[in-house]
Amino acid sequence: MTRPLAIAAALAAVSCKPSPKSPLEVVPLSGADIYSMRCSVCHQQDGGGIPGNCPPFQNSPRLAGQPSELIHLVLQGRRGEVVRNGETYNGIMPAWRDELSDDQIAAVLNYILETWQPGAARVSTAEVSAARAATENAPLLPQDG
Amino acid sequence: MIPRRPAAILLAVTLFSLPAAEARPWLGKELLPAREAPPIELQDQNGAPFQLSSLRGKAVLVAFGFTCCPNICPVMLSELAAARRALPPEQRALVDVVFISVDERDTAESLKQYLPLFDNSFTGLTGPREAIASVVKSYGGYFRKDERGSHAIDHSTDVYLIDPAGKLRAVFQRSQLGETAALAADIARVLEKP
Repeated sequence: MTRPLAIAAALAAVSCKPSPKSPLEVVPLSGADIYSMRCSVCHQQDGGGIPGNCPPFQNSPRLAGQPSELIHLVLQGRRGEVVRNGETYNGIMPAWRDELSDDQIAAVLNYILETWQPGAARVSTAEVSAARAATENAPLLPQDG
Repeated sequence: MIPRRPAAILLAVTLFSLPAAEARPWLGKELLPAREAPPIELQDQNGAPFQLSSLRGKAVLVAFGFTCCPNICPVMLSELAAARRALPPEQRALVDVVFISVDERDTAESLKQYLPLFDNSFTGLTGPREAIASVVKSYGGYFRKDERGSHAIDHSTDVYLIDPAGKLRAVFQRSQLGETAALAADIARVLEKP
């Protein structure tokens, strides 16, 4: 094979390879990484949320509540109005069960708790796995969750 | 060095006078040559007839989805809202996001309730299934009912940027939409240089 042909063949072989998987699938990302990639567009990097749309993590009664509720929220999402500290928010929390693994959900929740609710109990992967199994047929984006 | 100083000054002036946007690569895939955006004639969330040509003079981002989508569409619309918010007010007023529902269960009313969850300015469109299918196809997109038998709809997630002259200028993949500053810069570029 002549050199140009060999180069062309090599390039063709490279370009025909399947595209790599999402970084979320192949690289073990930290909770902070996942937060930046998946959460910060609404919750903001500083956790301050969006007025009228997404409540802040600072002084959040939900973060101070049961970890099981947080896991359920991340798995199933939520839609509709919520009132926090006298302010009304109306938005959508996406359901992440098909996008994030149990390890990743635990990691990102622990990052959020460590950052904005330091005294709270941490979330384990086993807890997320159990919640995932228990909610397999539960509706996504509930309005009351 | 002295004789070179005027040349050096000229070079510096030239470099600094170039628009920053020209030196920066596009986030999305730039479409060259820019071509007329395929027409869109559907019904908006207020039940009024909508024509894409009515948005001439604005930058328009076109996305496909459905209001019951549990994950992809809310994230995509949140990212588009974030990019719009990142623009200065005078440019933000010249940006429209057009969300076309590919779900026959969606109505003008459901779109009217859904879109303010992201941004009050967003336009939602629906219409006869054949008309929607025609628009989606004209943009190179697709949609089909989820084969798993759920109520979900499998659909393309590319977002299209149309400039104020009605030309299709760039396509963004879903994975790029989270790059808020770069997406806002691409929008600003077509506003500044139609």
